[in-house]
Amino acid sequence: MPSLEAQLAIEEDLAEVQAIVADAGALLEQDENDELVYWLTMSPRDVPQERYVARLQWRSYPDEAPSIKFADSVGGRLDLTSAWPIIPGYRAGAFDICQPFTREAYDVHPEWRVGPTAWTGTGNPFAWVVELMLIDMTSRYQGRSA
Amino acid sequence: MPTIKPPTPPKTTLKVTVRFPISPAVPLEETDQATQTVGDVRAHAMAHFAVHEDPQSAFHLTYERQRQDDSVVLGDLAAGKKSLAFTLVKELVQGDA
Repeated sequence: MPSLEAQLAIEEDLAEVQAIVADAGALLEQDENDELVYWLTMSPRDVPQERYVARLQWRSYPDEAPSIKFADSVGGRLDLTSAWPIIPGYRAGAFDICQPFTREAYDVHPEWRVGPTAWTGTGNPFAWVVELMLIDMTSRYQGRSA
Repeated sequence: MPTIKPPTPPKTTLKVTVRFPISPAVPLEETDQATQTVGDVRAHAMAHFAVHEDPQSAFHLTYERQRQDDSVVLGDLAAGKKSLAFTLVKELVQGDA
């Protein structure tokens, strides 16, 4: 069960996150069953008919990076490589984003936990993660994984 | 006969804001000349947010989620708008594909 502290911290940051999401024409929805899980639906700017759904699962907030996986729909399957966009650092085959803003990346690269790649729980890390993903979808998107 | 000064073209200024979500600092808000560049704003933003480039950390600005080169002139980017909202982005390493 998520801590009350984490829930309150997310609620405090959520308005800014939703503003960023709305500005990008994306959609952020809280999971029906887990208050620390959010589903981000977004499209590449140049291919608006393509939709990607990312599950952001916070275990603790703001002091730990979220798990991020792509699904075929909100609440849907997380084990489909075809749900993943092709973006440098996004590894559909490993079902992870291997960059220092996800739990999976820190598990693969524990050396990233210190120094300039360490997780920064300051400011609004939820907004930071979402913004990074929206920028990736705009600027670094290369297509859909098979 | 009075000296007539040639008309001076009005200086165009832009309201510029820069966000850096993982900083506890408030967003940077300033008024810049349209002739200034993205690099000028990035330098101001990095000073405002107290971040520095080093061999492992590089930063750039995005506008409407698109990376902007330092050489871009604010007036060109604004294309008639009176304000520009940037995000400061720290470039991240990535693992092997």
